[in-house]
Amino acid sequence: MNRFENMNCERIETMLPAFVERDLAGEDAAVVSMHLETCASCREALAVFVSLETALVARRDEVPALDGYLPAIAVARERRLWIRGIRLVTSVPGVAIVLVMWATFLVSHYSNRIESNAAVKTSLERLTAFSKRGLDAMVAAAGGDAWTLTAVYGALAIGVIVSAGALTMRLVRD
Amino acid sequence: MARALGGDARAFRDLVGAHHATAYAVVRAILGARRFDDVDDVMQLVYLKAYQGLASFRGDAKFSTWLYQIARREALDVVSRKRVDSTPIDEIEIAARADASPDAVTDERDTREWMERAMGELDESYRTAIELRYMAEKSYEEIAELMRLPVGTVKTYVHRGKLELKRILSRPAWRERRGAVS
Repeated sequence: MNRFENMNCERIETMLPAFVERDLAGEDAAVVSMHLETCASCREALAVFVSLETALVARRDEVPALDGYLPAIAVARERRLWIRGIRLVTSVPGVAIVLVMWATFLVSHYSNRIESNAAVKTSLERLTAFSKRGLDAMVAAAGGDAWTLTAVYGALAIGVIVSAGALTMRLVRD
Repeated sequence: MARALGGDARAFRDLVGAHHATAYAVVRAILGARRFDDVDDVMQLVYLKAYQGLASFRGDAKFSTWLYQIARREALDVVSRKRVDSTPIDEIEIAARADASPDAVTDERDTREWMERAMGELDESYRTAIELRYMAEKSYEEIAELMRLPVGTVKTYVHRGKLELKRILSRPAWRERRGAVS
């Protein structure tokens, strides 16, 4: 075999994978076909590539079923539901505390201005009667300063809510 | 997608089901024969990360590309974290075969084993392109989109990978062992 024929075979071999896939342009495919008719070693190489193609196609059967990989998802989902529940349980009382505190403060602070409205007055008196006792106790504990009390407890409640939210988000993402 | 985002596990399964072979192929390609035992763990992690990160998926990319990136990242993470096993692949093969009964090894399984080991010697990029092409049954255009490469480059990877496989399987040592088994 002369040097030209050897180089030609090397060139042909690089084209064989595409030839086996029928991915060669018409002219190149014709050149390869003509060469194969006269070259036993390239026909042998072609047989190897055909076997290789068969073995590679068989690899699609090695993909396992998806379901085997999803139990971790079920665990994560259950965990997420628990976390949602914890977030709900922690956030609802937190928001309620803040709202009640602010309502109590506003009612106490502005009650003198709305005493002229009887209906509102009646409603507010009921609310005030309930909340003022608690407020009075807290004001007393805060040294008699309602502003200080509201600011401290409000900041505390907001802090609890923000911390619970941040902690929950971190747990969800982990 | 909306139901999967809401935490519906069945909807999530349907969503990833169409791309399962793609994710599996890329994980297998990156981990190779030496880390085959890690494939299942990484696949579980891939779907867990996809499930937890679904809210961050933006519609500007295909879901298949997004999942491919997660699979690739998780597999590469395992490769980078674990100590590189320097044991030659032929020694791994010999050790594994010493425990196996000759009768228990079927021709089909044997072909798979040899192919797996030969694939393990390819460059990762060649291996990824070939696994996506055959294991995941993707077209060259789809592979090019996933790997973010021109179609011509992907074809070159696959064809060069096959030439390399032929060269590996033609080595005298491999041919002798294959002959002894068959």
